[in-house]
Amino acid sequence: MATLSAKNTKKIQRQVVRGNAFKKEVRRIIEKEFSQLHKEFLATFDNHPVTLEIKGGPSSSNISRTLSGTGNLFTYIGFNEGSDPITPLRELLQTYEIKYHPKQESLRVNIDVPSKEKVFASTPLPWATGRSWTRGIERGISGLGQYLVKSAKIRKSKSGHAIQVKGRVRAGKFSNIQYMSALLNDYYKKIKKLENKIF
Amino acid sequence: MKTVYQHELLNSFYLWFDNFLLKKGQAHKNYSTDFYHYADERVQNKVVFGSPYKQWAYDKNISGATINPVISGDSGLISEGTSGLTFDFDNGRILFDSTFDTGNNISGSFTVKDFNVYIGNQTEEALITAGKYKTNSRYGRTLTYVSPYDQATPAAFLSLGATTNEPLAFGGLDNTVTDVTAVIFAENIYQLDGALSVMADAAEVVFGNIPFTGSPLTEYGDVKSEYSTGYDYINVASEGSGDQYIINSVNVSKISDSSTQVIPVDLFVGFIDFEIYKYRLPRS
Repeated sequence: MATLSAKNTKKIQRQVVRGNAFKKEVRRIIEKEFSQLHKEFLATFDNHPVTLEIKGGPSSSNISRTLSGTGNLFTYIGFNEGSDPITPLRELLQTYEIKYHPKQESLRVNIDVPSKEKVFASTPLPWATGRSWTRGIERGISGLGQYLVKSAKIRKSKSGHAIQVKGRVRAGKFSNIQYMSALLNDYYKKIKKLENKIF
Repeated sequence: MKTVYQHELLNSFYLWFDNFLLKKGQAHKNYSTDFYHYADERVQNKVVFGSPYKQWAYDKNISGATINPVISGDSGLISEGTSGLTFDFDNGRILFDSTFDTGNNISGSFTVKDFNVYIGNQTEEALITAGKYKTNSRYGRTLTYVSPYDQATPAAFLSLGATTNEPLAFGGLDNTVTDVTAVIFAENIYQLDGALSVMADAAEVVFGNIPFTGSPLTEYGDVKSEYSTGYDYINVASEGSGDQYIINSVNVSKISDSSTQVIPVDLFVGFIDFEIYKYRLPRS
């Protein structure tokens, strides 16, 4: 039986990698697999209690239990009524770019998705734009927002030395939970696995 | 309870923050004012004279600061120790023995920090909505002593946030990541921007661990006698140079314009969020 030398094997590999049929098949496999994990990632994001609670607006209940069931994250963070902080974040998370890099005997794949820093930078607190509410969910977030919502209910006090707040400053404490970092870490891990596939 | 990691971090961070702002931002002013006698029931067997400003500078690492206040009475200069004279840097006042004549006309020169620095134990919302602060500035007001113990603005309130231990190396070495926040209360936007700008440049700065015993002030607010040649932050911090914290990142922000409409008129509020790393063996 005839055998191929290592040199010839490499030669064939190179020719295969350069072939359009091979490239097309790799693309098909990658896009199919990525599409699946991308869908799963977005579904996890959509169904996360924090996402659902904020999406629910000012009348939602504290399903994330971050406020011990009192109030809700939308008003606690200080989003204005009618605003939609989730949609722009989801739009960012939907973005990706798949790059193919032909090497001599293989085809490498790189998948670019938003970094954690980008996610944090694109989710500013409504009253302090240098701070991220998604990071705050994980590391602790000020409850100041609930008192700073643009509203006729809040005005300068007559003395000019205090904010007139609606009701008492609540003594309750925010409990941080895992959110975007954990979702993204899992997402990045799966992407890495896909990128490491050798074609 | 013994002193643990978070206590030492907060103590070390407080002293670093104070020095960094004073030094890099030259955030201090020299004053010469009269002092005003008042009674303080917390200080027994002492005669108290207060200045209109609190939190005087005492760190000799700060150039241009009068860290040894110059005090004069009816009969001329009074040096430290004479009639029991001690300084209370935190409360901006001086203390004499109980036999000192309260009718003396006392005046003095000293350096005041542009920002008082406090360790906060309140939430941000409670800090900001409380609106209970005295102000160090006395423009357009009759000069008198500033009440002791009350917190005065402009000020920075430091507080610890979340802490997590992240595995770093074999042998149980972790990176302990701690969030520290400074809420800044300034008198004007120039001052606020200045403080935020100085601190924004602190990313990747390293500072030494200073144990509780390294705190510079006594219970009366004077510099401890063990600092016989004066307290110098850099010297004290360098003793802990083998035991350091790293400021991994700094994020500064201001309360947005729309929200400042509901903030007390004489306050401009900003936030500085620090992420601090410390390599340690938490389970040993």
